[in-house]
Amino acid sequence: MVDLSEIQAVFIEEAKELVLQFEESLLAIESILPNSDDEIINEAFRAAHTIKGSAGVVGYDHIVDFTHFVEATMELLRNHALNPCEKLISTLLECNDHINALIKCLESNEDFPPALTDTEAGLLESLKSYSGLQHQTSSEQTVVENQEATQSFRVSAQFYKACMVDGFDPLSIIRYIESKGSTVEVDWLIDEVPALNAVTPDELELCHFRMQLEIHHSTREDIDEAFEFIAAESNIEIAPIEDDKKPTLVKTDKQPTKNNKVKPKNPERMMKIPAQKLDELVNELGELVIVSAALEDHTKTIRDSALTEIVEHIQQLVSDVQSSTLQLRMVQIGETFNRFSRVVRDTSKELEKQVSLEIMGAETELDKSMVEKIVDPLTHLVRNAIDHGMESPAQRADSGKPEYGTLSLKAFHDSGSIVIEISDDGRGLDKEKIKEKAIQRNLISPDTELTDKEIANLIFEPGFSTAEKVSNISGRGVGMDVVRKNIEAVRGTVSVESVEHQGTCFQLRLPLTMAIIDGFMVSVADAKFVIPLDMVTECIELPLGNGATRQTDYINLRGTVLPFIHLSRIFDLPTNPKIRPSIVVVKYGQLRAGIVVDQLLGEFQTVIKPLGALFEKMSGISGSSILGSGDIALILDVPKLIHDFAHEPESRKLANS
Amino acid sequence: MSNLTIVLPEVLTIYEVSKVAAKWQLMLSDDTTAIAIDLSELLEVDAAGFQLVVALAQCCTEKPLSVIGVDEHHSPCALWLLNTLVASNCTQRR
Repeated sequence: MVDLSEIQAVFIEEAKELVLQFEESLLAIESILPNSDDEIINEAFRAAHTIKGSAGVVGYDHIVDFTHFVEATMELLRNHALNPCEKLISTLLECNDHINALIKCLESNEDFPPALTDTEAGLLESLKSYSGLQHQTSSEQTVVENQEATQSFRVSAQFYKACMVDGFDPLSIIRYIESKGSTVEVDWLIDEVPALNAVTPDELELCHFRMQLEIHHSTREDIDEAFEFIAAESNIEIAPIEDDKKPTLVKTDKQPTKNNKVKPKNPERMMKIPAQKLDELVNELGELVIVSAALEDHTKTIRDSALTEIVEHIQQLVSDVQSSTLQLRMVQIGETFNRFSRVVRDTSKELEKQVSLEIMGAETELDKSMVEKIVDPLTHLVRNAIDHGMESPAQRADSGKPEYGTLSLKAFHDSGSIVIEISDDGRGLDKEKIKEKAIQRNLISPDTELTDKEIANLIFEPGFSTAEKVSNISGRGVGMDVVRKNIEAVRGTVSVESVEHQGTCFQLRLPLTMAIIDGFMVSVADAKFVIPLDMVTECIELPLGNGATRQTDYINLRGTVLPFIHLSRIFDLPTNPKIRPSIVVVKYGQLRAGIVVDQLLGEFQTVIKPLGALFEKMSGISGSSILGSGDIALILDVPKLIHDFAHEPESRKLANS
Repeated sequence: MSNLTIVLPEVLTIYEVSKVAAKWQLMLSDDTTAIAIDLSELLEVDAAGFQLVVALAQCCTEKPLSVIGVDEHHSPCALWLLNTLVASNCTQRR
């Protein structure tokens, strides 16, 4: 049985993607003005057309009617009856926003608010001024359009068996064609419909009938559109009726005509899966990893070589399934970066600045759930960079810079993390002003000595803002600390580097996934800890001589100073003087440090379990994991440990590698 | 020998077909000689619902399905279903 809400959910998801595509195409058209590119205009037209068509299939008439006008305007652009200009593209972008707002209302099951109705009326008026279209619904409009060059067609339709289960109602085709002003005569061919007492109830959800349609006052294009979403998998024959001559049937899927818009099957088969199902799969996989580790532990006690071999094979398979499953959740960051073209465009227009967006590393992949969580912080950083960082064209010209500023979004992998950099070539942070403001707000005392980096990082303190005017873009001082909180909530870090008059670079460093990590297990006293494996560079014994003692916090490691921390001190655990401790050398970004532990227990695949509300603010721990033995291991938050260690007042303990 | 009257539900679409088909199957018996369908409550029907009624009609090929409970005051979809069943020779107008 098909769930209606599933079909609507699919429409909403697809429509959101189409809205993004439409926006991207419009921005691309705008970027080459006053020139134009037929292919980009076609892309934009197709996006609007498909939104309208899909909305029609699921019965969202309001969206159909509004999008009809957008589509009609795009059609005029496509036919060169209208020339693209900046104002028109702005209107179309606003129309796109409106469609997006309508979709969001549907998604949240809300009625369309009156404000949307007002917006819609204004937008329709604007579109009319360009295209001369009268305010008619799509069907009324089409009746007028179709009064020219229509003819009659005969269509034989044998739909694919599961079409109705997939949410397609063959009657919708008749309704669609009639909505275009055509008349339809239907002959139902029901000879293959089984008797009710000869089949199972489920078999009656399949389509057993065929339809023979005679369509009058129509065009081939309209009929192709009516069957567009079903033609690839069904057997649809369309032929014009020319007087009383017997029509030559043309199979749409084999002999496409010039106007045939039936899409060929996508050679690369794609499937849409609700994210929740993937989450469940990842959770269940996590349990499998735990049980698999328990099995391995137990096998060691049995000492049966055949069993050990089988268990090793199972573990290899679990590991393969794990990487394939996590790969399912990976998406390219470019899809997210592209959204910022619009943010950059709108913000720079609003502030009367000229900014171009550069995107690098768009193919870098990260977990979809991570993407959702970083969109807001990224948006804030981008808007902030344009508002605070970028100078006006006149100021840039005065300082010998090109009038167009450049904002770059760059993504890349580094040491098992994904790094996202948001950089601009603007004025840079005014460190004196930041320090002054920090003193005013009692964040630091006037005699505090801070490095440039530490001064720059003050902007992440709650309530901090150096903006002289509060705009609707930034300057309220409620943003950067929220950015840091959001990034830290996904086990990431944010840092900033800035050179005055040259620009600022914000760097977000995020874990690749939030669910399962490869870890390196260590122990201190009876407690077990897991360090993310990709941060571990090597393990060494804590030397007793060689310039180091147990009391010092650094050693000479092959000619470089390696600072280290004792987990036993941080977590107040007892030490055993009989055990010679080891140092696990970890690297995070440009920072390197050692973590002193009692024992090295080796690599360990681990499932991250949240610590729960009670422990969520516990510093230095990012989660926990259940071991095969049933014991709990704590997952170390290495960035946080290093950060806290680096900011201990007595010394600067970190070595820049 | 028995006559069976089946009242169509308010909504008969792909979402109801399987459940309604199972219910109707239980109502049918070997000695059912005539079936009448009552469209008076029907407000919504789609192609799958139409197909189910056709499947019901196929059970009584010797005795055409009769239709009750529909007139010009009833819902457009009931009228549509009646007309389509008549056009498909599944029933005849009363």
